[in-house]
Amino acid sequence: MTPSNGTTSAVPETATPPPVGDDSVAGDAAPTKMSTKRKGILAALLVALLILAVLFGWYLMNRKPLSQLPGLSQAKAPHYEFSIYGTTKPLGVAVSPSGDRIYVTEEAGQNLVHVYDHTGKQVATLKPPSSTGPIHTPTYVAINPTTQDVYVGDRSTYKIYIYSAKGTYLRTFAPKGNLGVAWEPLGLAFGPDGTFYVTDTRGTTTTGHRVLVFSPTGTLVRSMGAPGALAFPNGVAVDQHGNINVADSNHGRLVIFNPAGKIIATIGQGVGSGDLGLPRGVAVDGAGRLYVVNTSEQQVQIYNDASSKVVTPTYIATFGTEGQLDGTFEYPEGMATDTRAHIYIADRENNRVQVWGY
Amino acid sequence: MKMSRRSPSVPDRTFSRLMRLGVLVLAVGVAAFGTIYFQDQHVAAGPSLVDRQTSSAEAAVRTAPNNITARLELAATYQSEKRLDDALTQYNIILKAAKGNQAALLGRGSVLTAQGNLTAAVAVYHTVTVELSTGEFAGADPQLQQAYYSLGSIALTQGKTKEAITELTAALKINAQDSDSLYLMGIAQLKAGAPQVAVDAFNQALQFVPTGWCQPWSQLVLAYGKLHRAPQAAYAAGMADTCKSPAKAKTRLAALVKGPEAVNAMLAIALIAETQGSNAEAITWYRKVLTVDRTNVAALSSLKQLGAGTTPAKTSPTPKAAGSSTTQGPS
Repeated sequence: MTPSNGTTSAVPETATPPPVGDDSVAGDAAPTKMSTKRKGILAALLVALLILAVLFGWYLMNRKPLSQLPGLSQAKAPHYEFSIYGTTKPLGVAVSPSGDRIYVTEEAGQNLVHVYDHTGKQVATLKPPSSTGPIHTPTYVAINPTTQDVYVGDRSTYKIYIYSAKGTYLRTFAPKGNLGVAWEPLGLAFGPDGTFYVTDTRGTTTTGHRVLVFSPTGTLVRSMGAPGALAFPNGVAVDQHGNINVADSNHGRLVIFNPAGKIIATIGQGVGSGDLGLPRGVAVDGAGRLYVVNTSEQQVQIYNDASSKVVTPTYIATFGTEGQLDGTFEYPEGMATDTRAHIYIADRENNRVQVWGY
Repeated sequence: MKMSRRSPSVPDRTFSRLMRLGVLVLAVGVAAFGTIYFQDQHVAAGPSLVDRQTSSAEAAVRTAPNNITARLELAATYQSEKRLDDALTQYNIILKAAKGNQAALLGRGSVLTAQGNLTAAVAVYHTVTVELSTGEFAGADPQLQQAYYSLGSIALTQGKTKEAITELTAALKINAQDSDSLYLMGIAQLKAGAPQVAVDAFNQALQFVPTGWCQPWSQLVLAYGKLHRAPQAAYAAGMADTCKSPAKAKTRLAALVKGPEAVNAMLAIALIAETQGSNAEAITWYRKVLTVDRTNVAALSSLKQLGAGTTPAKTSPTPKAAGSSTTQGPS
């Protein structure tokens, strides 16, 4: 008698084996099919795991949004993420490569350099010692990539003060070499090797306005911009090709110098897409995108110079409009990018720094 | 003979285990990656600038409830946030303490208008005009001008054309360059059956806001239509299209380059091309303008700004060819 547990399958266990011929067909083919299906699932699973591992690895190495994955189009506008408040009339902004430290200069209020963490929480302020004088107006700020020292231009004293990454005042930048005349440093930028670029707005527009290039040790290497070529050069940024992008502010254009100091391209003034009005801050990100703050239009324009042989940047997109809402500007000024595809813009009249991302 | 249930083979069991393990690793991996990604990428935006301003204005009023400036600021903040009832409350509190406060009266009138209570708004604005129209600086008082403009605007909405013209005339007497008042005056005159006066008003308004404002152009189409000035109406229609469809505008305007509006049409096409980033096309059109009018300031200055020479296009028509130009648009 066959034992029963009461819920036994309706198909009784065979007491008699099926005919040999039938068994050979059903008994061999079914496991083969099952095995193939399972192998397929397992392979899909392994592929999924591999993709996840690659994504994870890529993300841990780059810490960029997934929209920045290699192969995806980079020719698009970013979106607004958040704002950092606490500065009065912010002018310049610099950010450590990882985005962990954000330095913002304010030209009103307490005239300090505010230091924020990546969430916008203030962690410190920078101020030169009293021996440097009673009145200071910090303008633009830049970080030396080789030392992480923070360089802050000062409009009141025509000096550049240097702080350590931890915020300790180190010294005043002392240019070596003959500048010719006294200078008025404004825009600051570094090349990857520590070459230091400073826009100088001293004197008249026909004689004095220029871009000075210093070696990593502070020796004057060259002066860029023939007399009259630049009018109140403002922001400056070095791109992947070593070209120097300068906001030729009062000429309403962006001028691109090659490393030898020769003008190789310009983005002109006008009302067309990609044309400029009153350019101020300039920045370049890791994907080779060039950003120019077009202050008079209350917006930021993006161009693509990524690894192209064509020197003239191609206009990609614009972001921002005038206003006080999130993502709108009131006379934006300086800007910076980090290695994590964030863009930081000093939104001057709204007393905030806006952070945009992809 | 009894047979035991066939159990899975060893490879099957291994597959099953591997798959369960794989699914588990995948699920945990996705969850971990998602969590890390979100925490790493996401930064809480916090209150917006407007919210901060509101909080700040509210705090200021809490600190000094009798400070009228603080309450005015709070009312304006509420108004900008479309919190009309809250704004009205603040204006009422101010007017209870300072009955003749003009800023509060104007603010209250503005809120009442936005709420659709036009009768009450008119009463408020009349209070302002009665109070200020006899003042020493009545001829240059921007608050009085604003009150007259608002009264004109409301009268126009209510279909009281004659009254609107009276109020807008008073507003323009204080500020003759107010493009908004000029625009409304044009509409009122058009409704009053004075299309030529309307044309003058619209054109004056456009002198102060020459680009990006297409409503006056649309109204000019009607006004020129009533004056039976078809070329001008066609030009205005082309200009009105610039806001909606630049391509359509260019087509319309290109049809006018042989008529009496040739210069205006060509300048407009050039500007559209320039706006679209087609500087070469813009230069071509500016040069065509010079073939008709060698001293055209707009064309000369635009060519200079575009870094182009000011040599007229080669297809130069006869000197008096403004109305019979052979100038052709770019292919």
